[in-house]
Amino acid sequence: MPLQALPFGLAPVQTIAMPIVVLLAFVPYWIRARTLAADGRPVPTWRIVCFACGLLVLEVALSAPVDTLSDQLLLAHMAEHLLIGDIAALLLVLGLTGPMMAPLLRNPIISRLRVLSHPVVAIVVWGVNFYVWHLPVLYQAALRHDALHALEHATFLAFGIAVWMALLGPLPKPSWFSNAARLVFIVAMRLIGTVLANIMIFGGTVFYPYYVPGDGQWHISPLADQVAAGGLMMVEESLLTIGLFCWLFLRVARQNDQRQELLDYATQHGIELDERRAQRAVASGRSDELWTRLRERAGAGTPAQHHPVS
Amino acid sequence: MRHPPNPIRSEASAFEFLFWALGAIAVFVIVVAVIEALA
Repeated sequence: MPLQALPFGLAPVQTIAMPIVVLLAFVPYWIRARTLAADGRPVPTWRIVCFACGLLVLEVALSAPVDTLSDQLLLAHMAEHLLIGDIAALLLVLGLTGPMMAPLLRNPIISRLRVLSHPVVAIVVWGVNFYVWHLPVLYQAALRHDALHALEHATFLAFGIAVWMALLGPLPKPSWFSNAARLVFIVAMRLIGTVLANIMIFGGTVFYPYYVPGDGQWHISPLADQVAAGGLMMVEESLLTIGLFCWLFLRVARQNDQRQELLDYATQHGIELDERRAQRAVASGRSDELWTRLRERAGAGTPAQHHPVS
Repeated sequence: MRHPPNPIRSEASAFEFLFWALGAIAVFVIVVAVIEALA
């Protein structure tokens, strides 16, 4: 189908209102970033860029052309879902810091939602939500009913944010969520996605007959459309997983360096510092506080006491 | 100043939330499936 024939004019609300709503979400973020900068706690520029890019990706995914295509091709719908649930959610989470979220967390209702960023809760709910929406009955019901479709996208975004918050977000993590546990978390995410992608690729059955007319318009068989959609999910998740492995490797290397620097400094100045304490401070991102204490003790010439850091 | 309890540190509340979330999803799936079957 030529692009000129796409019925963008049939969706004026989506064409005009959605971009405004999505982009307006940047306003409170920007105001808070300015406030923090004035307060001497600036949000790193790369995080601001990530948040803006997350909104832009969301904007593209929810735009009329993509939405129209996603009603015709499973491949396009898969791309839309990956943009919303994986890429946009990831970028939005990368844009968040603790001080940025502080006003939100003071709201008791939003504060209760922090439980969603618990690693076990996040990955289980994310995985279940992922599979449930891909059940043929729900997937096709969402295509027929706009409200259900909006709910589908909202849950992909919300639980996507939850799963990225659990792994990369600024909120405190359970003490058992070490780097090894993060590795397991990443592998589990990969497996959850891979199994569904393989079912779509090798299933040999058309799961969503809703797309038969649309596939006919684009001169592609429904099964080929489904295989392409599964393949797209596999490729996108593979790239994400490689990126996450790199991030985790660099994180472990950086933490080892920071811990060693703390231990070396303590040894040089005759201060007693437990290795686990140094590791705990580094892992929780509070090595600066431990450095301050060590320097104070070194200056005072007294041995360090074992205060819990986190 | 006394800080409010941190929900993330309470594993019990997390798993309680998980239980209710999965229950809600199950009910939602059943309701939609029944409505679609009757339609």
